[in-house]
Amino acid sequence: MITNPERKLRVGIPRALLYYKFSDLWITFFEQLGAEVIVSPETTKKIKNVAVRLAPDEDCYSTKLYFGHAMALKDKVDYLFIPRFGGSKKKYVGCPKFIGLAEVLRSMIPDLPEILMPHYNRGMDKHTRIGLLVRAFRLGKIFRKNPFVRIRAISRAFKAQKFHNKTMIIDENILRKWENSEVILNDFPIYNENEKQLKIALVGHSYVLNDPFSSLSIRSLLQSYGVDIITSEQMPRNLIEKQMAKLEYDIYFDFEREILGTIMHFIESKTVDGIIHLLIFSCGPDSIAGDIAARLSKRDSEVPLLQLVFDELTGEAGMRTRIEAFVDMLRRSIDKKVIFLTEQVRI
Amino acid sequence: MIDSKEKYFLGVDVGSISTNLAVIDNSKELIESVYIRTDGKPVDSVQKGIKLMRDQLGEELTITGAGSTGSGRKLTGVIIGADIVKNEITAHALASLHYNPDVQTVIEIGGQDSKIIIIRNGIVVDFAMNTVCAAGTGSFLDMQANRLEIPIEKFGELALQSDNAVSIAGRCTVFAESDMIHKQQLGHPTKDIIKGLCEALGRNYLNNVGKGKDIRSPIMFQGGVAANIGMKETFEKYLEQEIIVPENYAVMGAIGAAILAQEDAMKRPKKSNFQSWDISEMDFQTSGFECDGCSNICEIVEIRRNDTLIARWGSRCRKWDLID
Repeated sequence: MITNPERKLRVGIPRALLYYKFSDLWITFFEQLGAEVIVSPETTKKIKNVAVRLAPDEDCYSTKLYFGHAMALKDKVDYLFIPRFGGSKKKYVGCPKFIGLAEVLRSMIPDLPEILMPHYNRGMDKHTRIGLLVRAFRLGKIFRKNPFVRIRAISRAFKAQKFHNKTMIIDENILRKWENSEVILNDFPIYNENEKQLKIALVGHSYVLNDPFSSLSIRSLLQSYGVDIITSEQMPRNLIEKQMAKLEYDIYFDFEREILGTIMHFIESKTVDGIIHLLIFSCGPDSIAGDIAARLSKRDSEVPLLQLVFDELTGEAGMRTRIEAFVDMLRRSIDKKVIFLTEQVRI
Repeated sequence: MIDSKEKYFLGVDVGSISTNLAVIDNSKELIESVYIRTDGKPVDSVQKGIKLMRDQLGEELTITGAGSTGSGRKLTGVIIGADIVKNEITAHALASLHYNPDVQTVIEIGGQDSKIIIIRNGIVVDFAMNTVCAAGTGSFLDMQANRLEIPIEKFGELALQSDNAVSIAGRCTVFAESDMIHKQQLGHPTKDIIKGLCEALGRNYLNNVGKGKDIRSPIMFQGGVAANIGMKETFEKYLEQEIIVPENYAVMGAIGAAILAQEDAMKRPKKSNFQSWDISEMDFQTSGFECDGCSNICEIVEIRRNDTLIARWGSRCRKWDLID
């Protein structure tokens, strides 16, 4: 690689998987170190086609897409940033696939730019929080020798992530306001005349919820149906932990705790009209959480649960029919409830 | 039969295999229905269906509202000028509720789709559709009837004649077929194989689409496959409940779409968008192209009526969208 002091070093970050959780942390870190960050574009059909052709067959759809995003950056950057992230909590794990991503990519595609792959897994003894800072400090050396600049970059990056989490995750007070229709947390629903307002909890991995391509634009679809949504990402953490404590077993998949906790909260609180659970085909943790969610919903089925499984073969038509039918079902049941009420008043 | 003061509503259900039309009056009673094959040409079959309907009812009959449903509902909606375009789950549920207000479960098996709809107190509370597998739907039965050289109409009757169903692997239609061939080669009589096939498909339906669903009586069985009395008996055997097959089982989707059109007309008093009975004489052209505006390379579809562009869709970004 030719080092040209005039040109900033380019770091590529694939717009997939954990990018949707940690983008602020990563981008701030590299930019503070004077690097130019290039994020792959939003998922398109072209990226998907490359991904499906390239990725190992047994990987989940979202992991496959990661390969497509990495390929989109291949010839545009000096470094690819693909952290090996095992999880940020002592007791819980993320997804083992995320740890192996960098190595798998490197072994499959020999002519990739150099991959920066710091390893962090809080579950491992040596991986303390201080250890994470040390790793970041060492990684920063590639870009800046000055230790103060590196420390400042780390500090600003964590600050940015903290701010992201704070704006994303709401507290119980805001949740109550949303439940009472005092605030809107996401895109403003397009209400049609004479239609009842619906509230739906949209539950799934951040990389499915926020990628319109893999979720077949479900968010804008719901918006056009006049549905006000809350996502599992936004849920107050204490409520999720409260629900998790009710299970006889400890779910050790960190992301699934968020998903399952949200579903359990709304099954219990009954403050939404319905729950839509987005699952990714061949995702192991999803299949476990999906089954538990279905059982819990069957036990207390007042709030209907729709589970949708996505992969590269998912037909848009069938998916739309299900979503439309689900929204119809909720809307019609509200209409009916209102009719019952007026009948009682008459008596 | 036709009353000039009465209001009439048209429902069109375009599925993968059949195209159904129904005209109901204001009290939701079926006046006339048409059931024809789609034959892979939804536009032609809608035109043909409309012509048949017009021949049966006469041109003077005015349509106050029109609805479309089924997998071809969007296209159909544009062709006939539907006031409401709705999914087939809602349509089937409404039609079932009209025939039996107490119905709690609807089993619907069509050409390539199968569904279960759970209803409580007249409200849909749960539903499921077959996912990536079309095992046990009408088109498979159709194919097997062809292979065995038995008219599909006789399929069910023949199954009833057997009292010794052979076991057929029903998990996947491809394996079911090889299993059937194997059983034939062993010398099993056709009627036993057919009965075995019905049972395998019934089991497959209950284990896939019906998995985890609270199936309660009254149970209604509709869609084209409900014509198969062998399938009805299979469901009765496995569910240990009586299965009701409504008289108009094959056109329930169209009836549902007509009911939706009536509801829609009541909610918003307005003139119907329904084209006219001359749809069959109009010239409809569909064409498509790939948009190269971005790397999504969307497939855009255009629909023209008598050379005028009336609808266009298919782009993710919706920049090509044109409806109305």
